[in-house]
Amino acid sequence: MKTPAYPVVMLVDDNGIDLYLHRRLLQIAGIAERTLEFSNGAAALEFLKNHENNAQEIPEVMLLDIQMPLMNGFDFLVHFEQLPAEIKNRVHIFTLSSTNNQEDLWKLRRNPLVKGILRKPLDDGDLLQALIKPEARRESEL
Amino acid sequence: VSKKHIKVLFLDDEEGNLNSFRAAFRRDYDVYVAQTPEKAFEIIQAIQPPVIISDQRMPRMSGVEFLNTVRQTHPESMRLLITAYADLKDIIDAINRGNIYRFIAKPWSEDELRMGIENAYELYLTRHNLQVKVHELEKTNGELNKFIYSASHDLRAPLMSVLGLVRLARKEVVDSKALEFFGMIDSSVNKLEVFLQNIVDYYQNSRNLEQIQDIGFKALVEDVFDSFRHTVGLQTPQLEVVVRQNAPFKGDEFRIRIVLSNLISNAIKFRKEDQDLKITVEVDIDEREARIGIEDNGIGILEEHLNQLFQMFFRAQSERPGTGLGLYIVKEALQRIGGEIVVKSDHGQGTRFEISIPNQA
Repeated sequence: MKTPAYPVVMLVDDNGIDLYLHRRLLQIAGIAERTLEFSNGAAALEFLKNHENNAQEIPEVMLLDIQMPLMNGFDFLVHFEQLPAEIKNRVHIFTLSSTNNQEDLWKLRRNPLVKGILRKPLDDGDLLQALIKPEARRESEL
Repeated sequence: VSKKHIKVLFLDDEEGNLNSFRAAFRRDYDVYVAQTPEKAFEIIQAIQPPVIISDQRMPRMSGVEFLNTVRQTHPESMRLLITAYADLKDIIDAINRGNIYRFIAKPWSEDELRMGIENAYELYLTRHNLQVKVHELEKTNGELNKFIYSASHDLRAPLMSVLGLVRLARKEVVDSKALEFFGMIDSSVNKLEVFLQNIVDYYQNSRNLEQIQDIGFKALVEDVFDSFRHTVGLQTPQLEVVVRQNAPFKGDEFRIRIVLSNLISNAIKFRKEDQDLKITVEVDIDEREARIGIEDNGIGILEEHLNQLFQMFFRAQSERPGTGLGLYIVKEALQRIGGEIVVKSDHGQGTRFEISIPNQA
């Protein structure tokens, strides 16, 4: 198997089955060697805050679920915006949600912090396409 | 019928008038009297009487002034004025502004005043009940809204987990029998998902307000198409989008998306098994409207089915998945935004939908 594109990808999702699913897909598709998993936005935020002084140790890609207890994806994005520039520039956030709610999707499409919107069930083709050129991908979403 | 429960407040600076009011009505209503506006406000604060009657001529504050003030804090109360026709201009003005429900000529007759009180109370009750109903409806609506939102997520999320697992399993398992089962689970879950989405669309279409914004048709069509790519399986459908934009376009993105996504989903659903699917979307935009043509090379529609196509729960095909809601929702959504749709089809050759949507730019 070829070397994964990223050593670690962050997964934020409250559903254990989805975490398993995404971890496995990332491995099969050769995107990540391993995953760093959080069961809600608050836990992920705490991790990021703890690395304010060594942002280069933070994984570059995060797949963020939207509907989660404690701190959902939208709340997370609000908090993420407040973080120092080093972290914000470092982490590319892709939302990964089963939501089909037009209002939710509309809000995500207009959020500049969101580099791409992925739908569940995650397709490894989609994932690769999104991760190769996140900026180009975002253009096509708009 | 006893009307003892009707609370009536009577304000007059002359004690004699208060006594005669009390004598006349205390057996019929729950009577409260006040000799000064201050006392009257106190009573209003404490018991909120639905019917408030005031004499016009009082030393420091006129009846009109008093009732105008009451309206500010207790707009739901029914306010009656007793007057000897003096200060007519003030009174007419107060009635016209809705501050006073009715005026009673002085000296008042018991019958006239009784009729005034009871009419006032009846109207008060009607308004009150209406308000209670409106409040209940708002609550139900809010709950329904939350229910739909959570149904659209809470039911969808585990469904998508199942779909994800089945697709992962198809990658990791080689047993051909198992793969066949996974395929069947996949298509069943897909059906369930379409049904769920139809219900949510139908509901959202019926209640959401129009949100007018700029629409980029090319990106919108491609995004909608993208969301169906998974359902196509191994085939690679071709999508061609041509947009001729002669003016900026504004419209209700939510409903336009419902229309496009149901039509594209139909094209995918009713494709020919032995031929690659091709969908062509042409959009012509001018200042007046957007005309959209969506054409496919699918199985087409029998002529006798064409006029039933937009009916609720109509299904022309029993062996293809469907709820019979899709095109009904399309028609409803278009109706909301003043759009129109026609369909042309040669059975066996493909289908073409032509839509027009008014430009709100």
